[in-house]
Amino acid sequence: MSRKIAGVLLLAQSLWGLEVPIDEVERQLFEDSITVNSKIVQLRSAKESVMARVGGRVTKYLVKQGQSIKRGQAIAIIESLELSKLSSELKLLRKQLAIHNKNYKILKNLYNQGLESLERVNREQRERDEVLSQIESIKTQLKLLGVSTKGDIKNNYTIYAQGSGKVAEILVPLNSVVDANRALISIVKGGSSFLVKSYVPLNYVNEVKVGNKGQLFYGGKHYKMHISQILPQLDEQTQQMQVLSSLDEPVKNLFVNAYVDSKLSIGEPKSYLAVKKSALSFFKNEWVVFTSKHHEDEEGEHEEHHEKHEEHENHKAHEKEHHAEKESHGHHGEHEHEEEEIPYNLNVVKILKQNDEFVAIEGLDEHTDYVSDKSYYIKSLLLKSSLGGHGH
Amino acid sequence: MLNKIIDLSLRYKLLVIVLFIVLSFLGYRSYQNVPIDAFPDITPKQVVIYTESAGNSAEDIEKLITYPIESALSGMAGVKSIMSNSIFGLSYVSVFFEDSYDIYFLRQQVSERILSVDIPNGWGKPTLGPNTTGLGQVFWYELKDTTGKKSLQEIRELQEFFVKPMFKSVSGVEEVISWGGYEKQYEVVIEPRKLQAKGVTYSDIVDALESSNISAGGQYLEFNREQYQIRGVGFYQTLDDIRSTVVKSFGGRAILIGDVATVKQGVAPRFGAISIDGNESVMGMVLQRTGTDANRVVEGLKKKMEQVNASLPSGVEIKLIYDRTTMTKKAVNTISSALQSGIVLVAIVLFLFLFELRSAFIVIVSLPLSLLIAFGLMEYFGLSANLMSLSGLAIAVGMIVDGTIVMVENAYRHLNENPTANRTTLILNSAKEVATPTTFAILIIVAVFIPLLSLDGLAGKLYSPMALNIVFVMLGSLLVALVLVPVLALALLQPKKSQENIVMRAIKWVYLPFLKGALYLPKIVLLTVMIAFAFLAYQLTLQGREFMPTLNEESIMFRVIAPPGTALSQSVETAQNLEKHILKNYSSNVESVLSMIGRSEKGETAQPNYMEVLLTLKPNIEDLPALTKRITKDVTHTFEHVRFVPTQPIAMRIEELLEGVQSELAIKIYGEEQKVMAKISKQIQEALEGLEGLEEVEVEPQLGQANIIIRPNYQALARYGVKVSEIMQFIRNGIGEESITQKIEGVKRFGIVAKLKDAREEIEELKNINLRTEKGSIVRLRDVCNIEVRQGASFIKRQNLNRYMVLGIETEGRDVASLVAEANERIKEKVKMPSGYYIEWAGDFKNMQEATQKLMIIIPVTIMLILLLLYTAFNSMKKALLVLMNVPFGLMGGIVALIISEIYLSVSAIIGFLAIFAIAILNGIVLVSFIDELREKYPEKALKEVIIEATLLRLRPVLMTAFTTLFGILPLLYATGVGAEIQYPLSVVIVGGIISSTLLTLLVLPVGYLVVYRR
Repeated sequence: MSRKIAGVLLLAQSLWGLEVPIDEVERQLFEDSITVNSKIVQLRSAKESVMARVGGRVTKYLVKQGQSIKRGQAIAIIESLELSKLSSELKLLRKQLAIHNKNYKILKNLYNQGLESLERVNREQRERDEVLSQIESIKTQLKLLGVSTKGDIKNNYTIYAQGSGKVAEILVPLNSVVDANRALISIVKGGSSFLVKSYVPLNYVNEVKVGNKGQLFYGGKHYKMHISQILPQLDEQTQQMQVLSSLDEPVKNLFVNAYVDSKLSIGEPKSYLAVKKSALSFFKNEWVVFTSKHHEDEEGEHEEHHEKHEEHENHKAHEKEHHAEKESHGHHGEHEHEEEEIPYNLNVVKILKQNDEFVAIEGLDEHTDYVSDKSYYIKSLLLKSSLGGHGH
Repeated sequence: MLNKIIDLSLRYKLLVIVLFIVLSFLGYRSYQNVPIDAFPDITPKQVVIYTESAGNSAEDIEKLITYPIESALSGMAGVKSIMSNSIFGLSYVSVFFEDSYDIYFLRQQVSERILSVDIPNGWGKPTLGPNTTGLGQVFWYELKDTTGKKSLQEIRELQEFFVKPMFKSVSGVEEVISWGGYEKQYEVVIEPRKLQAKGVTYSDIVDALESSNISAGGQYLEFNREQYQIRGVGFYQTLDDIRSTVVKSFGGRAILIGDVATVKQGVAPRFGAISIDGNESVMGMVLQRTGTDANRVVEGLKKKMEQVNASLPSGVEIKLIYDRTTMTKKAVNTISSALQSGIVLVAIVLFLFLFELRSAFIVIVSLPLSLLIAFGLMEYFGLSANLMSLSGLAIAVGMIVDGTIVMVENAYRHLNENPTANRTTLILNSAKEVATPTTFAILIIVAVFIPLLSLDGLAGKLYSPMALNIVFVMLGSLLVALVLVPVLALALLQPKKSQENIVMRAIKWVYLPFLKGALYLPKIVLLTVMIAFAFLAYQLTLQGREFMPTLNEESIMFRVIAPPGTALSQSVETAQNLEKHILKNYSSNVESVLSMIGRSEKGETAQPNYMEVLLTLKPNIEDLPALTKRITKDVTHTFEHVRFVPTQPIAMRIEELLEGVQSELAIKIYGEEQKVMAKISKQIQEALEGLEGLEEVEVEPQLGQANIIIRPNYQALARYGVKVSEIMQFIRNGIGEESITQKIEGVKRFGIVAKLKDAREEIEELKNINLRTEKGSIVRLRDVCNIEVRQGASFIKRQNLNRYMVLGIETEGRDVASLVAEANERIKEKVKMPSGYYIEWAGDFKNMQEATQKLMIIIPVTIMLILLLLYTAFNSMKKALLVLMNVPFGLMGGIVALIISEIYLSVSAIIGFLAIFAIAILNGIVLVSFIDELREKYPEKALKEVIIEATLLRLRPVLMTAFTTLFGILPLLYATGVGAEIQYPLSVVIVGGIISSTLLTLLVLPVGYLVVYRR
């Protein structure tokens, strides 16, 4: 029987005009991943403001919004009343000190000559020290503001950046009067301080772990990242977990609050038996893949082996296929003309995983030849014969 | 009464001649005016209701649309049956009515009933189909850009908004159907992610679109004694207008549609395509209104076509693909050339027999006159000149002259016998002598064909025009024979020395010994004939049967069927490969190949897996059936993944219309569950395996359409606060691209859809589509719905509120009746029907069955009618029966001819047998009445001698009537060309019948007379 089938099959193969691509079932690595909505965020600590430090009027900004700045770069100039008050006070104190110094010298000479009382000298000394300490305190104050105490003190105060980053925003309009605690501009620290906040459906609560790899799709490119933190709080509105990932490579022109797509892998990549996606066909409520019978026929010389193989095949092959085959054989017996057998088996497969090109399946052995494209034609043939065509 | 007519007409000779000149003039006018058609309108009275329900599945459409419509219509008066087909996106209900109702009344009734049908909002609106018959597609054209610069979508737009309205203005055009190309639509392609970013929902966008594309009128104001009208013009003008539609605004800032979506021009999802010679194209199909003349409509269209062509943009042109009238003209040509050669042959025969110019002239003149009178009657009764009605005339050509022959012959004889007598009295008497038998003979022919008018169904529609026309022309000939012929005889006939022409003498010399021999052994002759008849009658019951021979339309068409669920793009690819293959391999025979894939927008129930391929052939194909077979075999082999069914344009429409079945023979399985029906059909298929003559059993695959089923998960919906209506709107508008509003460009309208990006790219992507719900939740479709891929119904057919499935059967080399009988037995034996499920045969067989049943009543009725007429004529039952005895004589020849030419017993052949009835009886009457006459004249002579003398004297008229009838119909037998094959069985039977009937009348009837009246 099997030999007869083989004969018919070979004939059919050579008669049949359509060429279908054949591939082998191979192992493929499947990464389990989910594509989720994400948002670019920045941690609060990554932002800093530049304070006015002195009260006064902002006369000039030396930077623009979006400009990258370095530590120590001049940022703004403030015309400060406070500063001029301090400098005139310092001048006054210095004059007083000079007077006190002179008086003290005179008094000490007089005391040495016994002309003055010690009490008087001491009092003078105390007064001088007082002025001195007042000077010191102003000096410290000015020093803190970074104003040199030597020479004349200008009342235009320049503010310098304390850290590097990008000017995110200028907070105070030009020429407005500010007090010392007012933030003038905010600086966003560059580079790695961006995080990707992904919203992950709760179904994956057990799969998503810190350290899992992921990809960020931004501006038509993808960038590697890894999960660095899972926020303890659920996004209440969307009922999704919030997962923070750090980027592993620099991303150009990233904007905070941008909504992006990202892919998070869940679990380690695993190897599965896979076929090309184009091989799949939906047949009688099952996903099926067609395999070539041709392969077996060529080595069908050893009948025993062949028969075994056949049995094995049939064991796996779907019930319906038996029907189809039986039927066409019936035809073959009754009608004398040569019946064309379809040289392909129908295999029901279970889809386990899929990526862009491949699907991981269950139901086929490794290295089985399968029809990797145009499976439509084979399905049509099969349907046609099962619908009762006798061929002509 | 008859005598009075003859008296009167001979008295007012001039008046009679003027009357006939007027009649022939009127007849000629009618001849030119009578509408021409290939076929009588055989399609049943039918009103179609279709409901477009874009994107919905067959099962839902059946439940929500088809069933309510069906049940609303089922109680209507005059409804014969209701058939329906629910397919993806369309519900199609077809109501068949009794033929006696007026179509406009029926349409009115149906539309009133439809109003009461409750169809859920958004599921479509039922519309009446165009008022046309099933054969209404009279004109197909291609709209083509020869420069190749215009896109398919632009050409479709031209077709829709320019060509179609132009053609629709032609009188008699009911509808123009556009097919192929792409329809433009404007697409707002939404990126769900952006919705999330901007805090906008899908319904916000829908609302924004709906409420922005509005115009309004603001009445008028008066200013300086003038009126100024106020218009609010809010319709979208440009794509930018759509882009800047505000979805939501926050103070001064606003979110525009352009912020969350790309707006562009796109194409609407389509369900069909047209491919010609390997390239996609656009075509139009013009439907003719019921009751209009196809020829005139096409003429008007052709005239309009020039005008349209002239005003189309340069490079774009209309190319004619198919024109019903070419076929019609060919068919009418076939039959009218048969008619013409019939007339010529009859004239020659007449001349040979009469050998006298004047009498031959009178007889020949009666031919066209009777025909013209028939044409006058045809126009009066609204009969069209078609294959069937004209062949009625062709059949009758030989019989028309019979009455005249008898009249002229008698007058001639009398004139020769008494050359000196008063001509007027002589002719008057001779005419009166034969008036009664002539009238009865003609009435008998009429009587034979009148009962045919009561045939109903397809057979009735096909053959009643033929019967009617025979009746018309016979009545015309009666009028001519009784009124005009005596006048002409009086005017023209000259007495001549009685001299027998050579032909007659030779015939008599051969005939006489046979007659004498027969009369010598009367009983043996009668017995032999009886036995022979019995034998042949038995043979006839063994003869195969079929309903109707296939009409050769001189074209090849294929129905190509791929598995259900095949994508349109795949079908287009198959079609184009097929077209290229045929053009490459059959370039000497095939001019062009057209594939009509899926369905056009109106009233078609085909799916993308179905296409019709029409081959335009080059002229002068020698053997079309062989070519069809060759191509069929080749393509079936080359394109193995699809099924090919060869057919022809008209034949296909007829098959489709009559039973909702597209094959000649079919089993309909009725029931509820499609799966059970599929199982039964499988069992039947197995049971019929190996049945002799069974070529193919084709299960109509109703199942097998893969569905992606999105079922809301209520728990999940509750969790996210999503409403089912939101999901469904998403599916309908966002995925299904149902248009939300329309962009109006002049008179053109194009849908504006809000679709989700990549929603229909892949199953996985569909599952992962994001929804932003009203509450702001973002969920993927798969999170709130259970999505699975399932196999479902591809279409659901119903008849009279029951679902059914069709098992098409192709037969080869065996008559249908016996095949059905055997198949029925097998099915009864092997297939177990669950309760509630039953089968019925359909297709040609059913028509045959119905026609046969009817004929079983008609034939006895006809015989009774004839007997009654005969009895009235002879006033003797004996003679009436004697004449009736002639009928078997004729039948015998018919049967022999049928068996020899190996044709099946079809309705056409049965009608041939009926015609033989008439001819045989005519022969009998002529002979019997003359024997009577002679017996009266010479009562002293021996009966045998009287019989011999009478027979010899009547030999000429008998042979003449026989030969004229024979030669009148002979051209039909040898006719080739479109339509010839339909009349072939009929002519075979008649020819055989005439020969046997004439021979046996001349030999056996005298014997019968002898036996009956011998003392």
